[in-house]
Amino acid sequence: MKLLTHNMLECHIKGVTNKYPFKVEAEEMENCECEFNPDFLRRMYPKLDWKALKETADELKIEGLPESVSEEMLKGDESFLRAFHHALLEVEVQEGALICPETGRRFPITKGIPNLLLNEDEC
Amino acid sequence: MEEKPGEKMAAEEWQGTWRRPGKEGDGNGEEATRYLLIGNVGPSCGVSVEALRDHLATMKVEAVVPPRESGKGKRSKRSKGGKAATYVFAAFGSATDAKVAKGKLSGDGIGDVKVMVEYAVYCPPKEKPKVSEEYVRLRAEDLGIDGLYLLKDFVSEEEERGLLSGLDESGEWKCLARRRVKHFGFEFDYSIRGVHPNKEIVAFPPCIEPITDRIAGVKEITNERFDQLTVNEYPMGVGLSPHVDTHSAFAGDILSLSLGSSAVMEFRKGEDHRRLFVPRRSLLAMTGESRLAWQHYIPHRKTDKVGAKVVKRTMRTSITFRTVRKQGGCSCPFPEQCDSQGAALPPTRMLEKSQQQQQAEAESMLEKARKFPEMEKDHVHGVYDCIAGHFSSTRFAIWPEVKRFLDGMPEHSLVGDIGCGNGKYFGAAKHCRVVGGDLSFELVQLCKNRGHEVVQLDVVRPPYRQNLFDGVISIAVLHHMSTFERRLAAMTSIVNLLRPGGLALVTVWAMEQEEVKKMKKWKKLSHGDSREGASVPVLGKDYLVPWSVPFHRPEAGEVAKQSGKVDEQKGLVVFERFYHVFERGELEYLVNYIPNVTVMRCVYDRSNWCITVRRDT
Repeated sequence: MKLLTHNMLECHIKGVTNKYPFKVEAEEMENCECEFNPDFLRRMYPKLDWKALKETADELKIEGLPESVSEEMLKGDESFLRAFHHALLEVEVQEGALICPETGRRFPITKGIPNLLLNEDEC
Repeated sequence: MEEKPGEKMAAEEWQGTWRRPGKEGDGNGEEATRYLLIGNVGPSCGVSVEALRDHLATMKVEAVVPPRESGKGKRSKRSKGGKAATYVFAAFGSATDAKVAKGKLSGDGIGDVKVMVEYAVYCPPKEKPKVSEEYVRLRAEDLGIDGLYLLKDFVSEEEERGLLSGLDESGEWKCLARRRVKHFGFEFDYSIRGVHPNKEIVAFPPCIEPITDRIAGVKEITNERFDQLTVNEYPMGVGLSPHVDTHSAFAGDILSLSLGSSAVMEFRKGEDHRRLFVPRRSLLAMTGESRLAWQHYIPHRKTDKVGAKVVKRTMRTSITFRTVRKQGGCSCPFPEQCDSQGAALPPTRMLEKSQQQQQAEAESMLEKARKFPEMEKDHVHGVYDCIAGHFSSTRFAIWPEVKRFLDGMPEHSLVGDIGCGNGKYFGAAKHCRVVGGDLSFELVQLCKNRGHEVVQLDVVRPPYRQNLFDGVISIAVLHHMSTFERRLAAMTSIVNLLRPGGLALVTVWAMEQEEVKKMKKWKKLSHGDSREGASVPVLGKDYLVPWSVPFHRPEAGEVAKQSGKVDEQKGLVVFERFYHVFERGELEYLVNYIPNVTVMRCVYDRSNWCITVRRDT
């Protein structure tokens, strides 16, 4: 699971209001290099919740993300864009769990795949 | 809420149905009504209905009604061997009386017997619409409606073919709830039941010209020129709601040319009701009173009874000719039907339900959709994990409709593939970022192994943030949902994932399969939506469709043999997958329930229905 996916996920347990973001518990992480595309990052940025990305990156000890992002940085700050690219697309949580911020329910991540299926009593 | 006391009725007059309050969203079950459900009574419980009646007589009871036996027509046969009911309903003059009785009964019981008491709701039987016994006439003049003419064989068979193909080639189809339409001249706006007279659109197709010439020669038709054309395509079984064409919008006569199939058209004015058999290739001219004062409609059904004969309907295409009123209003002698003279237009189906009401209805359906029905557990979830590898090896073709959709997405769009299967569409949109998921762990693992970004998810509640995606695809997924509510919930979730202006493509198997031979192996199920009390129309059909894994495949291992059926002779393990196949118009019908969404395109492509919708901004 990339942090890109993490940034888009929220907890859908019935009745939960504080559903975002999931806390990440990482037991095994991997680095998967992929093509650097600043245009994609610029297109993607407005869709992201930066605070969630930054906090999660900090917890997973991924360095180089600033607290906030300016237009200039998005436009041409190569070292920022590289760090952004790395955190968003290259770091993958292979084993671990996503934890619902309200209920503490663990959604396991197995072989890089988070299982977000709910139990009957959570629907 | 205190219900008004009703008229006193004898026990046998309570012909309606009973239920508990709260089930249909009216109260939480604690709400007082003037009816009680009294349990643990009846001969087997030691309290006869008569004894109960006597007991309740002191508590202002109006009627004690035993439940009706189920199974109409089989009554005597069933009840002989069956058990007598152990509960009755009681009606009181007011909710206060019912409350008092409830208190007494719950506390004291009846004699030594403890009884269970709950409030109940009584639903009176629906009155059947009154239909006169007037039989279907074959000639318009026999109906006795002024100004109605039926010109039989108005076009030849050859002309009919020419018109159908000519019309197919020009203009754009628009999808309505259960039929498709095309407009020429002026566009008809269904929300105002009229046209915008300053906005002329596509000119009439050339194939219409000989017809308009012929119309000009009919002396009963008075309009000099028809400038608005509506082509309606009615699938078998689909009819037309009762209406009078808006007086203020259209001047003079209304004509309807029937192609492809006959239909019985009905005419209604107040209590008066008449029927006319309209054969294919005929022109129906509604002029004068027949156009201004009579509602016309076609009942939704697949056959018409004409005399002793049953006439099957097929796809009927009607071409309606009208003349847009350019200025002034209508001053006809039928002010009650005339909106120019202050008569209210009957509400359109779209406006009939306020948006709020529609939303509340949709929300209560979504609530019902939350849990997985057993049918899906056994015949969707379980199966795909078993057959994932074999299934995936047969799934690689990129469907043109999906490719067309993905190709249309701007570069770097964020696309969700909800119910992604083996992930064959992840790679089909290299210019986009595709993420997604499926219910089956085995299938998402296949995707992951190919380097795709996936999660294990439930299509009815995909775990992504809303208003996020530029595009969403859900290919061959919705047909695995076994109830209308679940299909609606899935469609709603898909739309909610879209950012305003975002597009979604949803495809499903069609009831109209190209390879009919294939369907011989399908097992027809009783329709999931035809259950008692369901408030939705029964559309499409439900089947179990076999998936056979040959013995030599690893998927046909011991575990599989336990969950599937083993066919030793053919060397196969057979799994049955649940499919709800969609009929024409059904996807649009589903989308109609969802606010803030517009249908952009709906096409049939190789045994599938494919709908593209846009989330409104």
